[in-house]
Amino acid sequence: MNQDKLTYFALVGAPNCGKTVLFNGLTGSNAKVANYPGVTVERREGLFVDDPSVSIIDLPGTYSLRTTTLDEAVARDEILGKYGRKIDGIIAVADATNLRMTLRMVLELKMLGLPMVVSLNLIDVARSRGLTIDEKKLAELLGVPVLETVAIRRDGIRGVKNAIANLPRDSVGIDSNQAVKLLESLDSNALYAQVEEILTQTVKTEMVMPQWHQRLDRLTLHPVWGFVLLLLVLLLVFQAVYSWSAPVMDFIEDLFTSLGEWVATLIPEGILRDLILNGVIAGVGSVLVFVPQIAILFAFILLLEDSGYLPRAAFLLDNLLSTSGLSGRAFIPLLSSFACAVPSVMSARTIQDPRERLVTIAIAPMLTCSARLPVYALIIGAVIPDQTVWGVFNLQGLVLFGLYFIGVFSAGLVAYIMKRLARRKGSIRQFPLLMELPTFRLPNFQHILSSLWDKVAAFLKRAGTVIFALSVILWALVSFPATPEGATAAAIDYSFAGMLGNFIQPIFAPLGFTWQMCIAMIPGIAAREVVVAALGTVYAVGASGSDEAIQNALVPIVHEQWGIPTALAFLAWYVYAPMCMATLAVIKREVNSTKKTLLIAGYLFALAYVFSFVVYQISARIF
Amino acid sequence: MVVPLSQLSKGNVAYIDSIVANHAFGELDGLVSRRLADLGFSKGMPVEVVAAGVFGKGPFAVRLSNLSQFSLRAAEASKILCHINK
Repeated sequence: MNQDKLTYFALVGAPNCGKTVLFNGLTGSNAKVANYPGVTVERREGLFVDDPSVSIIDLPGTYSLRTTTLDEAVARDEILGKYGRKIDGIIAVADATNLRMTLRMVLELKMLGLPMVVSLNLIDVARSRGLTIDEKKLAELLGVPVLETVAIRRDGIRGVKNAIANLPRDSVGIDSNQAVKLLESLDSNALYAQVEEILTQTVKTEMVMPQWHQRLDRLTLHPVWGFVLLLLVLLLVFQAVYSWSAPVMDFIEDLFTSLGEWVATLIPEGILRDLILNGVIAGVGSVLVFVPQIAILFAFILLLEDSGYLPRAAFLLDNLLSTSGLSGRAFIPLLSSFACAVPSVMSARTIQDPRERLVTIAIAPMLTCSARLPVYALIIGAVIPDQTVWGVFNLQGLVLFGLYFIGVFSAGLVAYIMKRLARRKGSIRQFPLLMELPTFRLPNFQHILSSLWDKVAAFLKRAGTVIFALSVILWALVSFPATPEGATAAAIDYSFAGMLGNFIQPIFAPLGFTWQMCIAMIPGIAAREVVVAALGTVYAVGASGSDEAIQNALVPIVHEQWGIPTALAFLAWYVYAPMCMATLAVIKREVNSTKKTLLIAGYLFALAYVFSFVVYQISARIF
Repeated sequence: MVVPLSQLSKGNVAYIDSIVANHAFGELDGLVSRRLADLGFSKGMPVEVVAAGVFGKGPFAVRLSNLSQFSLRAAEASKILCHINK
């Protein structure tokens, strides 16, 4: 399709008005996601299912064209044509459960003079809560078509689809300078007076807030019970992530082992087979094994978000987070960090305060992501006795919990220190919290599934390509040069990896690390999941086994050859060690500065080294 | 008599009078005022304090009479002056 002939309609609306679900319904599954030039805000667009010459752009949610955050500014700039595309029409999404506020923005959008259609979304929810409205009269008063929409139902968007199809294809567009002047001169009070007038004439019975909603609000926002509920919710989520994912992870492991065995029968012995089995399959398999955990955690986050609960959690945590210079808004990105830091760093975009956003991104990697678990599991399994402590707690479980706790505590401490430093420099600015507390609603499972798929696919693509490449490189480093004749040590000792490991070992000697650990750390510095597999290669435990087999084979080795101080130091190292390449790459993209990215990687490296050193030296004297 | 929203307690209902400056926000203050106005904190609007934080000092969860609800820190809540009686 010739780009120039495409008609562009912008989908505009407040966050929480169900706009994304409507977008999915209007564009089917052919949405493209890219980035706006120069900023890290995502641009979603897709061809209109009823007319492929129309492209619908899903703009970031905004409460007004007089913007306060980066996201919102991008939405405004796209409408004003500052990204080089002429917007031919606007699909304004109003929320029937929040009519007054969203109608104000409809009036604001009308001032732009573009052809417009209003989608009155969530009309089913509003009706069930008592709203009756004369939408014909509303259309008459607004001067534009108003279509009742139930975005989550396929037949609920027929009306708005037809209205969009009837919009003119080529409009004059906006004079952006004039529009900006107009927007600046708008008076909210005057607009609201207009809205009140319209509402008096069109709303026959008003919506009331159901009793259950009021009670739920009292509970979720309660200073004591709200917290109790939040802790229970978090506990449930983490429990689900670890216990539900275990069988699926085992299944995936077995799948890859079988795959390896099958490939082994097809290809004769030699370099190619070695590359595929030990390079590609082992490497990629070690990433895919994390998908269940990440998927479950994201599914819960999406569920909590869609239902309207997360802003209430942010409300409760705001005081605590502000002691470290953050705010309630940092809660969601930080929560996602426990799955994988990559999407967490990206979702920090919703934080208005640039300093807070940077701090959130800088501390997110310290929150234990699922990639660290194989390393933790290996060391804990090898070094910590499997006994019950205080009658009830499993010691190994306690240590794992302790590692999580150290991660969270360190993150808070670093944020606090950054706050103090900024305060001394005088660069702390007061930012408002000002978050909407959207109404509670039933999560839309179809939407959750499709968002989940997007997130998982993105994770796979990013981590997968990096780790795939790394696995191949690691395999090459480990296999070449080949063992010379009459060699006595393990094959890996003669390879490039061996040389590199031995070379850096002096740096890590004060931490008690052996040269084998140093070799395994090299790919580990780039992608933590690979560390255990790398250790397996180094100690030559039969590299084509599953992760669990390698782990099992490594446990006695760690137990006998490392000693407790070294093992503990290795654990301590991985609490802080600079994160995988994928995260570093995303951080660089989001903060847009190599210097800051290096600083972040640098401080994490320093923390890892110091903590590891202290742990080694102290435990060497105890054990 | 007008009081800032930040001085109300949980369960109080009041009527918005005006939005004033808070210099703690520095150059952002104008933007914050404008955003409050755009979100619906208009003159005469009834506002109920649904929650007032652990010590009653914030953040505040407020509900406007049109049923939209927001979390506000004490800093922005103190910008909203209200009448206790209509």
